[in-house]
Amino acid sequence: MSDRASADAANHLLRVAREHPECAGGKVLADLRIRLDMKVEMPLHLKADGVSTTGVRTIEPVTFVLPPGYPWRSPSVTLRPDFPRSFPHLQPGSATTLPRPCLVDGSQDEFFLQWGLVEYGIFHLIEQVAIWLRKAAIDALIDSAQGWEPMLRRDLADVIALDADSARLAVTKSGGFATWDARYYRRGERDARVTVAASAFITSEGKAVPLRHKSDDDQFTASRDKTDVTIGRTVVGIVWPDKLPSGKPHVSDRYWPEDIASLGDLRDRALQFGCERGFEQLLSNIERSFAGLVLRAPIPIGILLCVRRPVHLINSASPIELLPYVVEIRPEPRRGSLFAQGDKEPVAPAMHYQLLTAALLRTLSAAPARPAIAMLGCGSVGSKLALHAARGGQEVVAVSDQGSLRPHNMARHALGGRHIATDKAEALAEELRDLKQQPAVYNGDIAAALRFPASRRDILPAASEAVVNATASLSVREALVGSTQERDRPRLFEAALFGKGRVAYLLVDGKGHNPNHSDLMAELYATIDDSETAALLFDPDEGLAQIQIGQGCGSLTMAVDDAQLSMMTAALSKEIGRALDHPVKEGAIVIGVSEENSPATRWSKQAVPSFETVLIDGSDGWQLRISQRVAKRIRQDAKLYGNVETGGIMIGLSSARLKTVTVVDLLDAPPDSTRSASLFLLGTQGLQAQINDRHEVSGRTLFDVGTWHSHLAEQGPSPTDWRTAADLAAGRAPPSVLLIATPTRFHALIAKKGESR
Amino acid sequence: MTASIIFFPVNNGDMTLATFDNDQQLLIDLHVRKAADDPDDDTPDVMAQLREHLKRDEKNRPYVDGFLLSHPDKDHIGGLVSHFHLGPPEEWNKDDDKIIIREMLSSPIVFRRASTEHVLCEDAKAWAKEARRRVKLYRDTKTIGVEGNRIQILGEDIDGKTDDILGIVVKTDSLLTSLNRVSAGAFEARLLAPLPKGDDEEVDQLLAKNRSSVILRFSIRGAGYLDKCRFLSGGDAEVAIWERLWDKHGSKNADWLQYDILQTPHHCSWHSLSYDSFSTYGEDAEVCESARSALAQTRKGAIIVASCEHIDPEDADPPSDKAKREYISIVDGKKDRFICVADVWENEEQPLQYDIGSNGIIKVVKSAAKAAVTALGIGATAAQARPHGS
Repeated sequence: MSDRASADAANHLLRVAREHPECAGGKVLADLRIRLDMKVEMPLHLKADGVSTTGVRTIEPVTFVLPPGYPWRSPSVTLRPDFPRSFPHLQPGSATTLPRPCLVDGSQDEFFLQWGLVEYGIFHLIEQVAIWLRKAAIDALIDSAQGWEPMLRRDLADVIALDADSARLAVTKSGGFATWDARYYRRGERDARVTVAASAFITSEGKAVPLRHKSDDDQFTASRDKTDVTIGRTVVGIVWPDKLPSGKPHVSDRYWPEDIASLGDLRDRALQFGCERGFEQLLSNIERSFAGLVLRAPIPIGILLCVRRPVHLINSASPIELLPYVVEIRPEPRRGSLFAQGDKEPVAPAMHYQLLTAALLRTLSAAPARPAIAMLGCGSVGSKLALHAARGGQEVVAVSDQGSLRPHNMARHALGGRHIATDKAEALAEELRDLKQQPAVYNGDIAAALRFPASRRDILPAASEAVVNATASLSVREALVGSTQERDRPRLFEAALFGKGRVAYLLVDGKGHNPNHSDLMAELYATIDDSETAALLFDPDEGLAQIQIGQGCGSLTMAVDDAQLSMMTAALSKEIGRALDHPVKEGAIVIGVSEENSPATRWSKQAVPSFETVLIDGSDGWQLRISQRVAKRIRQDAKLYGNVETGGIMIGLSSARLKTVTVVDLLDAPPDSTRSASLFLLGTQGLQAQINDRHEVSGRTLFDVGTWHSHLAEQGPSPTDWRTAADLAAGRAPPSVLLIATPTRFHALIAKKGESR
Repeated sequence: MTASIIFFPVNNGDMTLATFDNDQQLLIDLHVRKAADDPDDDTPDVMAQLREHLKRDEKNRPYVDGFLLSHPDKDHIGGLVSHFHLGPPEEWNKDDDKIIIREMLSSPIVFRRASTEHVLCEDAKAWAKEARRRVKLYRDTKTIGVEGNRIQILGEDIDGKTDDILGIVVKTDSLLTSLNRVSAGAFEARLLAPLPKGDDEEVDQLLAKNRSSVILRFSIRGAGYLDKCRFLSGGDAEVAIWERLWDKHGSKNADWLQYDILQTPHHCSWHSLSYDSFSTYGEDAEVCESARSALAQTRKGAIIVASCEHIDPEDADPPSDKAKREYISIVDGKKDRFICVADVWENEEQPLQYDIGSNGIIKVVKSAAKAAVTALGIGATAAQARPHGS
């Protein structure tokens, strides 16, 4: 800005400020500064004195400074030099800098720039100042109902990362200190000082180590990584307050601004917090551990004061506030102390970062603790689901996939190019390890391995509490269903996409794994009533019959972008979370269809109660599984024809590997059927066409799996029934079941080909 | 809810809402001028402002826990019939959406017949009728009715007219501690007037004219802390009453008159401070020292609120500029501690509000959002006709 433009901007700010009801006046000063006299409403009895009990005046001079780049940046705001400093929401800074109020939650530049009109930005910034001052006047910057406001430590150069809860757990009733093993990353020349040209990032996993005095010790190390970067080992000293002479805990209810600049300052502050004994012990122990030893490099040490506050901290249940600092030791030869400048040794207030833990991820995700999952399939869907879970702090105990990452996978897979040519499962596990997970890895044939208990345990370790099948593989589905016992604990999920990624479904099995995924899939085929979804579902090229995304070569040619796949997969991940958070007895089918040319996606969720199961007589362990929807219809029909037998055709599918016949629909008896008290004769008129239609409508998935008829009395299969069963069996290759509904139960029978009783 | 006192901009008249920290609300007087109900008129729509602060009950009826009428003059009760439900609460109807008065607080003047001395306006008559209905319910059943049928009489009536309903009478000099049958400790109020009829006939004569103005000194709890705000409110009580109160309490109970906020009696009328007519005596008119003392028991930082139009020395009393100067002298000569409600409206476009919290009494500042609109000229293009074209 030219001088002229700057002066205009300053005058403009003052003009706008004067429009604010709490601005009593002001003056443009030199150097792009503007003084505003702000009115501060305070209780009547304090107003009479012109100053509040906290030292805020009824008229406060506030200085706005226009920064270079204004109005692309916010003016900065400072208070008078003698403004009381014992407030939260004062930016950290030493006593020699002007107090700066923290006016907004977040970036002040962003706040200022959110208004198109500069006038609005100025006006609202002044409003924030007015509010800040009013709160400061009555000491209401901390709302004790919300909790204790931790000291502001935003934008500091030094960092100590450790688990806050572990540090708090170290605090005992009587005072003291503990030292934790830590690693550091120091930036700056060797002779540079923290607070000026050096900074450190110290990480501790919370392992307590006593300070030792050994020359071959590696408790403190330093090695040069790059020109101005040193890495090595160090300690973090955790210091907490002594109890009071009365035996009560030392509670610090006074807010101190963060203005520590030297070891002397820190010593005084430790005293104010009742931490002096632990603090001095820590320093002398460090001195002693280096007695007679030399290390020609500065080593940053973390010091964490644990301060007990009168109320819990905001967003925490604990009243212990953690105040981290970094100071450097210099074990030079012929030194007087490790702290070269004694009390003048620079100390940098540091920011505390929470260590990467599942708990941290859960907090940030606002997610509850969820059951540990085993992921079957590490393709694009599986990799994304696993990472969603891990980022939400959910444990991933195992990942399984037979394939390896190939270049084309990069179009949609969660992992990046550096993993190409490695095993998918191992690559995903590596990524998960960076998120503090330790998944077991299986990279063989999942469907084959599930069938044997030993290898099944590799895929589903004992710690699995939920299983997600993201393989989009029929054989894995059947192997999973077939190998799962009723008593097995983990809830099973199946997630997949089809129809060029436009459709996604999630199957959630029921309690005791009934309904299972095969039941649910049959139920989905039978009940789908949305024509668009049905068209996509049964499309011969893009539908379920074709394996879409996952294993096989299909994915090579299938064109769907990562955004579409991610969008659908993200929703499936949310549904898995929901199902785990609120488990119910029923199974569920969740299905989503995204519109082709708009951002809209329709999701629906259907609860599916357990299937009724009947052992099939005459078979070697086959089972008839009937959807409750259908079972209810059979019973209603039988009741409707109260005094004669009735019946119809059962529609469903069957699996030779699972030895199941699943019934999910019925066809009414043809019009030429006859019903009497002792016999139901199934007619034939139009029946063939009806069955064919049903088969076509279901995308050629469902067919006639047998017949049903009612018995008026509590009586099982009759010789006639057995003969009919034999006739049915002779008629075709797939098993045909005869179901008998008596007033109280179902009987099922089947006859082997050529067999008659 | 934060305890507060709100003075609505009604020019010469009173309309004050006290909200207590137990969420109960007491409306003191009402002055809705006809123009205030006219959306095209600039007169502040005080009923809309009031309704913003009211809650609704489980039947979605807006309500006040109590309505205290200091005395039945038009500038203290105007608008009652249009905006408040009168009659049995079960007859409330949704379309009118009038405000339910859960409990009335009234002086015993409702038992008197209108006379040449007491010409009652329609709203005042309606108030009296409703009060008599509620008193009759109590007299008939001797039990406290449901919300909407309740009443407390502030002061005993002459000739023992209230002797059979003492269960709902608060005697002068005693404390009013309940509102709508709730005694939560959120406030207490010393009933200083109406003064009971005494033996001194001369004084009675003098007092007759405005004997009935209710004077209460509230002590209000703020955020759970007792006695955070003392508020003295005295309707239109004039000099004789204040003189008498000081004579009665000045030596032993001056504390009963102490306040943080005083609402000037009778819209800053000179006649509350002096027997001398200003029009006759001008600047020579003398202040009645006892009356002044009754109105000068300030706590530290106390303020005086004049619910009246802008005070112009050239205009007729009330409001009186001389009274204003006298009041300013009471608040240590600090002009900013004498506040005219109309001026607040003029500057801030909002009612005058004080919040009562644990720290004390704090004036609510002008809403920044509202300030921004005017300060930054939003809508300025519509403020006047702008010529366009060549």
